[in-house]
Amino acid sequence: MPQTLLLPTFDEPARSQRDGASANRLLAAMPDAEFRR
Amino acid sequence: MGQVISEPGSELAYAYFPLTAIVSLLYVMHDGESAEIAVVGNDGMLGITLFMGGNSTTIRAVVQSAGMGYRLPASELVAEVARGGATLRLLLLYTQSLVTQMTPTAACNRHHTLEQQFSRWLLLSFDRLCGNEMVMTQTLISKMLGVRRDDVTAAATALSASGAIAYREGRIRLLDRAVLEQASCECYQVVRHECDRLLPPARQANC
Repeated sequence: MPQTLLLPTFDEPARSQRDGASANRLLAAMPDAEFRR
Repeated sequence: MGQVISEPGSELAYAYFPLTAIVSLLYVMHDGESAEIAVVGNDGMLGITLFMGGNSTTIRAVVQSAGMGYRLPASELVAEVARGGATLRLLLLYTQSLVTQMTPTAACNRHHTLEQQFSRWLLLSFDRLCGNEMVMTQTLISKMLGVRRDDVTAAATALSASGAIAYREGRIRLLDRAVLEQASCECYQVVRHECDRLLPPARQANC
């Protein structure tokens, strides 16, 4: 029987899941970055 | 294997900043055999080539554990780095921490037992995960560690018997971190301490 393989995937968080400063150690430390504005 | 984010020789269109996902950096031989050289989670980013200037690398980046993260267009990261501010300094420190992770890994793979290597790999992964369980087949682990599947089975059985982990049907649950740290070699602590020295404090992921 063929099986559906659920691969580990990389997804962007939905807008409702975004917490601003983010939980990424690097992003959290660069609040002044232009792309954070 | 999980989703491939980049292949050797390719140029990244985005920089990736994992929140809950974990990405493995693998070196793949011509015959298809591979070994993990580093792991990237919410401690870091994928895409140092974007600001190092080399544009591509010889590694394959594969999602080891499914999850979320931000991706930033490469041009925006390059523009930010060109400002020469705090972001550049931070990314250079992260690059040093990534090299720090790769250095003992190379020696560990040569001189330490598979059980020690497996313990190190588990600890580095759990440090970057939400919760204390990961889904991982023994075949995938063998690809990460560059060893035979039977050897992974033996190492997993030994760690299960010690009470460090429970491993059943591809699910690895961390039961006792202290026991797992004892089963590991000094390489894990070296990497952890150096990353903590170089990088800003970790924040709890929004799991």
